[in-house]
Amino acid sequence: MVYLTWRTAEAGGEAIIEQLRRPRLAEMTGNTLLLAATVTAACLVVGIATAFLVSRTDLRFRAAVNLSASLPLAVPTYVAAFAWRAAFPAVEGFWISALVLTLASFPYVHLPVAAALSRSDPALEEQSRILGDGPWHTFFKVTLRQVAPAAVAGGLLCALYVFSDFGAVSILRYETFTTAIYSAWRLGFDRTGALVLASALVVLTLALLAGEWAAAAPGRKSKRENDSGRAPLRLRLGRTAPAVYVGLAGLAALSLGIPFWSLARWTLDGVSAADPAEVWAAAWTSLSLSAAAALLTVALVVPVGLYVARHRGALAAATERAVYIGYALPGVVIGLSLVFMAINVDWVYERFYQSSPLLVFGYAVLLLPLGMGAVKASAEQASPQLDRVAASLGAGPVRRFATITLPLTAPGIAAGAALVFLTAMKELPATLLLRPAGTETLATRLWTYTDVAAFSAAAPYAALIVAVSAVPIWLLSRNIERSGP
Amino acid sequence: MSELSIEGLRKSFGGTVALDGVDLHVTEGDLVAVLGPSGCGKTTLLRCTAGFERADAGSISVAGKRIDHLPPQSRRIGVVPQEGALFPHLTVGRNVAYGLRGAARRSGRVAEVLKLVGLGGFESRMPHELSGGQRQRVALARAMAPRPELILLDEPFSALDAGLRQVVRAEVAAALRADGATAVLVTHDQDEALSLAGKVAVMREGRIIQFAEPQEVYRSPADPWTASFVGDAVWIDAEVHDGSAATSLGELAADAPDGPVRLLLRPEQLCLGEGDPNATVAEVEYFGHDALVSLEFKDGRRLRARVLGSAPFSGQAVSVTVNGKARAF
Repeated sequence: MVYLTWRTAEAGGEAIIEQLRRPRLAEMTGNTLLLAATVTAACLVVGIATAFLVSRTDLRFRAAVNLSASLPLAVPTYVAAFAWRAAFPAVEGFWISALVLTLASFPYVHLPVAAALSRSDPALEEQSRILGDGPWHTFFKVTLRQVAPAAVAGGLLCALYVFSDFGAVSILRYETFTTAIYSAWRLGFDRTGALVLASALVVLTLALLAGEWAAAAPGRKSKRENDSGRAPLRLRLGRTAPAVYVGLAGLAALSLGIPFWSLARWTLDGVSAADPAEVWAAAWTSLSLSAAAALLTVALVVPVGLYVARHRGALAAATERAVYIGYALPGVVIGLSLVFMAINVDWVYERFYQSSPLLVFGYAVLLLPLGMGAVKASAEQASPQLDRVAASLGAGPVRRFATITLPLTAPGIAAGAALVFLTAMKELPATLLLRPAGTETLATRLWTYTDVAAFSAAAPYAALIVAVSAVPIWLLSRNIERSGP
Repeated sequence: MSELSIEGLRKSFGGTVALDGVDLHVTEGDLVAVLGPSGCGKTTLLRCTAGFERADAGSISVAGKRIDHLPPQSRRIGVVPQEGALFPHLTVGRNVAYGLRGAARRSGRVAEVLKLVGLGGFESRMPHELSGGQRQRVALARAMAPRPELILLDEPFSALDAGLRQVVRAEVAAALRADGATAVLVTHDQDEALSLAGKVAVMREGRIIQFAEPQEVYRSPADPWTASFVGDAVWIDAEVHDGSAATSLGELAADAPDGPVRLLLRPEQLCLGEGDPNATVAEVEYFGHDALVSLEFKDGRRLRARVLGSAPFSGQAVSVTVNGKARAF
């Protein structure tokens, strides 16, 4: 995908320089960076606070708090944005965008930090307390240091999320790179403008990725882990307890309460307003496109995933990174580069421009890493050691694949396919750019209706999308419960 | 006849030489230990024999037939890897039957080998329900089941804790003997090699330095490095005249031409007695079943002795004599 972006950027030629001088680019950069910085900072504060409360204080209803801090992931940002707009039609712009994105993405900080806290060695905190430091000192000097890598990684994820978000900011009318790219392309047919903006966004994204890899460097990870399974010291909330509970309740009300209330209200309204045939048609389109995307992704991912898991060479590492860069790239950019490819290469244009196969291919490229992660993890279960033992017992390559590799990786492949399927169901920006004329998915219907403030017509689509999105989150939280204490 | 014969085996990874001309001959029904420190090439030797790695030069034959060009599945060599590596999705019975074909699966061989390793009746268990030692024994049963020409064991006990290790070791050796299997055990553990194997091949820097019975490796090591590697050593510098060397322990018989030598004694060869004291006890490390005693002689030299039973106290004057011959280098 990077290659594709560069190639199309080159095709744009000299006009790029001129574009770079235009004030619009500076404005977009400012807008996007301001939003990303605000959201990331807010997510760090909220996410670390909830993680700390859950794993280091005598807070009650910890499981409920944990759940309510993971559930916002189930609501795609454009659905949350739709819910807010439907509830308060007058709000739009920077602050509401920052609020909605923060509420939607603080779980990216909460989850890894909570996991790091439960893994970290409580002996370090015990030592700090025994050496005479109070709980606050201990928190800043010891606890925070231990979870810093997890928090940094989570924060970067939030920033990436903001960079790539299209639905929420477009519904809430705040201009960032993604919306500017889309309108430059769709409304102005300004190819060079769209390309330059997309390239600038890619540069920003890659800079963030480099930061994330630096943060994940092995040297920064604490080697001490909680092997003893011992419970950490828990802080008594005491007199601050009521304030803490009110704060958490408020957070849940904002991140879950308002969206669900608004969604429920408009859905009740919308059931009568919406045309069931239209809803089912969109659901069917989403379903079949996503199923095709899942199949294609699995077909692409299985050989690559097995290769990466089996070979530790430079090529394997490079392949893996290339695939993950694809994940970080915003859907708008991927959609746009595929559109450009379709337009510039005659062979593709004749056969695939504005066709379902191209859209499915776009989904596959976008979601490759999701499938890849699942396949790789399960391919590691089928270690090369097992393969060698099977060979020493007289099994040839075909029998080894059929009796060892395949049974061990099949559950992972199925999980990867399911994840790709469910994620493709709610994809918005690439769908908008790549869909054939007249094709409507759940996401595009929701977006179109919200754009014209037809909230009750949009609501059934939003409800269906939330229902679909909840499944992978449920799977994810079940996995975390299984692996964590 | 299942005899392993390795000749002139060489293997390099990039610029690093892992095998530098290895020769090894294992006779039928024997258990040979390849003993060496980590990085000596012993694992590479095993992987080349099993066919997981292709050697650069040299030959490997089993029962008189060259096998080095064959893929692993055609070599009829069983492998017991470090962590057992049982197939996690198959029951114990199906793990053991994996290498058996057709009629052999129902011949009762599975039950037979499981009984040999002391796990009769475990057929329907899943690998994750077993303890570490049990997993290791199932891995052995799986390797033995198709009656391979040769079984290779790759540090099979290193993942077990100390107490368990000794028990499992003895059981594995007994099972291999009972089945009449020819086996090569790769290990870095001296006790394991010396106690289990009929013959020990000491390996260092890609070469086999000595190939002999355990007693001989311990008593007459090929060189000073091997001497120190296979057990505690007491070194004394001395001068030989007419097959005898004068030391602070008195005259010692030494099989060497006249001139300066280094004499090797094992700590248990030094005996403490009641006679004329020639040393004092400087320090005692007490282990229960025995003790390591640091002795200071009149010329200021310090030597270590291993004493069974009750240990002397620090500062005690003792008479030290030598039991058996010293090995001269």
